[in-house]
Amino acid sequence: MYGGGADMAVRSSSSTPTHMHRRTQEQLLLEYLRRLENRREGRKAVRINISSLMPANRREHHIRAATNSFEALVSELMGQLFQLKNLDIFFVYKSQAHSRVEDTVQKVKFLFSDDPLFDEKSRSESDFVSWYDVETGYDDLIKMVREMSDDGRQVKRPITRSNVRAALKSRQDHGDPLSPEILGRAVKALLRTDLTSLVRRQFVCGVSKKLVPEPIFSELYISIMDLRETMMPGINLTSNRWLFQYLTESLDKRVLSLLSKTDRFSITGDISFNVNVSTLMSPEFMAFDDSISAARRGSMVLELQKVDIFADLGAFLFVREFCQEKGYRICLDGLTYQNLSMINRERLGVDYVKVMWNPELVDGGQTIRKELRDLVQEAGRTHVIMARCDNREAIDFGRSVGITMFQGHYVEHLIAEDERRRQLLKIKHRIERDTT
Amino acid sequence: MADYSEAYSGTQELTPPSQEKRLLDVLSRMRNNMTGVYVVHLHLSEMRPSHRQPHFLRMVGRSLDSLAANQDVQVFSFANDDVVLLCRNTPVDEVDDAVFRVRALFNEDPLTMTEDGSAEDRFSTWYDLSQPRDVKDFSAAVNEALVHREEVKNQPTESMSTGRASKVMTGTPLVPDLLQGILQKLLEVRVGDLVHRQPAVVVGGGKGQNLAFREHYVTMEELRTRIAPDVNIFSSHWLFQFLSETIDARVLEVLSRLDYTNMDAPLSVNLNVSTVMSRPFQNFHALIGENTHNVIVEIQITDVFANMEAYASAREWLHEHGYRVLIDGLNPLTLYFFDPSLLGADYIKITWGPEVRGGVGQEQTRQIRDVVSKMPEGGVVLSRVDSEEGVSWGLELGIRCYQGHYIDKVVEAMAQKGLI
Repeated sequence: MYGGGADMAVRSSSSTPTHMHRRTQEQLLLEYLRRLENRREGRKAVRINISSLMPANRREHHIRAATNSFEALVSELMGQLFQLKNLDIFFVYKSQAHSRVEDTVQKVKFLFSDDPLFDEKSRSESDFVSWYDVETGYDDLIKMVREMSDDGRQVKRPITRSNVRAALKSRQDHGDPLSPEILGRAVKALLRTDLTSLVRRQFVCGVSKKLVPEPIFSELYISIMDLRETMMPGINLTSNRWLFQYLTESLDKRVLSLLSKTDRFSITGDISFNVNVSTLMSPEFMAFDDSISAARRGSMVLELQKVDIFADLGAFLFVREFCQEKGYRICLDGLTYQNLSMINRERLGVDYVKVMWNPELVDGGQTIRKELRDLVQEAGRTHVIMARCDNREAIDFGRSVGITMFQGHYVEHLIAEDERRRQLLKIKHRIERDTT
Repeated sequence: MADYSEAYSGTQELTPPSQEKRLLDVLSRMRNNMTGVYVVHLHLSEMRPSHRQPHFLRMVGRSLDSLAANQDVQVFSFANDDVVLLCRNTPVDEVDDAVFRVRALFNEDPLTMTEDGSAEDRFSTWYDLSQPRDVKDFSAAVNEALVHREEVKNQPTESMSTGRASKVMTGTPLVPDLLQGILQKLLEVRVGDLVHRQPAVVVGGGKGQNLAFREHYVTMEELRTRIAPDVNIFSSHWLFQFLSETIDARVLEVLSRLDYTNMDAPLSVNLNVSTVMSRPFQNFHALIGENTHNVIVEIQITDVFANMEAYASAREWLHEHGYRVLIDGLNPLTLYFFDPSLLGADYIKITWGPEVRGGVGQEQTRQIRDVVSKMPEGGVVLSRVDSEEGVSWGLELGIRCYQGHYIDKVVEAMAQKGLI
């Protein structure tokens, strides 16, 4: 799986039951609307269809900026914001704030104004923004949101005689499965596709008690969803675990070449990216290694998947030694809580382990909490990262078991918050200076 | 992986004067001025085959590059995989560091277990070429390597041993474009005659020897000859995994024809987690009816790690319906890094291999013992046991169940005496 990239893919793929019990934003939105049932008067909602924009315009910072513009309204308790799986923004608000919401939506639209969606003026508004009246259109709204959340929820079904039904549903929802033939085409297409616009960045941060984020390094990843749309629309690239894994080997090499062209792609600070063990033994990696300075190696973290390292432990131990000797750090990605209890980080010699946040951890009560605290202690506090933190609960839980490093949408949100605070402070200083 | 290795060995063969010959030339030219000249001979040829693959050796070369770039050091790579560093007035510490780096890469190889620089050090030999005696010894070593090069020319390459990377086979590397054709062939060919059986036996415990189960498996090399003789189907671990899902379906077809009502011992079969949830397995399940207790499903550890949740639900389903589950693909090395007893399987299978023969460290032994004690009695199977040594090694650690060529012979002898 490919870090944040497949993170998105995994979330959208019903064939991967990794997050069976995670509550999606769609589900939270549904719950929220249900709670409004008896007090829906004077409520409105708006949906901003970020998903209808070109993938290149859906960069993390654009979206962050878009959600940020609602911050003031949220903090004044004028409404509630939901960020849907397809990146669409859903804002439910009190009608007294309607004109402010309209202004905000205009601002957001302005952020993306160079998107081709806005070329044809006549259709732009309705394609990008949908308005709802919660009071009068409550039932329709509930129905729509329920459909969205059904799609996201993964019900644990007993194994049926065959998974034909699931396969059909997956095909309808996510496109045709990846076949050997399509894989061959995909590998070739990958060589021609410019990945620059598909690179996403997510920070791994230390988070203090007061929720102030302190960036440690940032993960660069390719959004598999966008890759698919750009390269092979209608194909579900992640439908077969093994074929997808094969594809990632080609993807690795493209990312390496992207990273060595620093003039086209400026990156600041320490970074991490996904690679296969086989990639680290390839001439492409050697060439990459040659192209960067020794100091740069020290600022790079190589993220490896558990399935990959246990497929050939000998090869892993070999490349780990080779890479660490050169100064790279190694992160073992994609661990669940159960995985963490099975492996020995110190013996594997990896610098970091990445554990995926899962709301079930909280449901596990004190037992899990204690076990996890011991596991974190054993692995070493400075070596454990909690990833996919979507909400404050994740951070609070992580901190309660001794985890100090976090990654995920919520961490991105904290960074944006922090930036905004700094900006305000700057303005305040300037005003003070100007008035004195 | 294999495409690069081929390119690598290809260029090596094309380089006209061999590195051994070139080294001898250099030595003879230097003969009158050997002051400050010394040599370090790295005996990589004595490592396990799995560590001597081209991509590993290529990285050794890279580890030595910086040394050669900054110092008066020449690096020679022999046909037998040995590497020689020829140094003139180079600070010993610098060379020592570089040698140590290479040594560290092969930490898991028994060859590096001897103490660095000690008399028993089998990993490297240092020669001081200002000493005529050392010159003589070293020249002899190079000549020996040269003889090896001539021999190798006329020999086929080393065949497969354990692990993904070491499945070195000849043929075009498997690429997606070839996959569909192979898949089709796989669906069409006869596989019944390729399914072989191997017993696993419980040793000791006062009751003599008992048959634990019989593994039913397909010999991959035979299958390859039938479906894709010119392709190295193991060159990509992931594409092979993909193929194995179809192999499962074919094997299940064969196993469906067996009679499960009167079995003297259960059978075991290697399956993917995804196969357990598939139609072919559910057909098989319907066919064998009440006799699920006669079937042990072997699952590869890689597959478990690929999707832990899928494994957990497959295991639950299998247990609920009376099947037993075995985790395959472990070796004493893997046990040191994670604990498979937590996977809730009935059996785990550990491969007896060269890495064990050289002896394992104390800490590792403790780890194995620990895992064995956590598994149910007889729940640890030592496989690929080809000598009595394997059995005694296992018994020492509390392992009771064995499988391998040696066990085959034992079972055969017992059968002749009517004991089984």
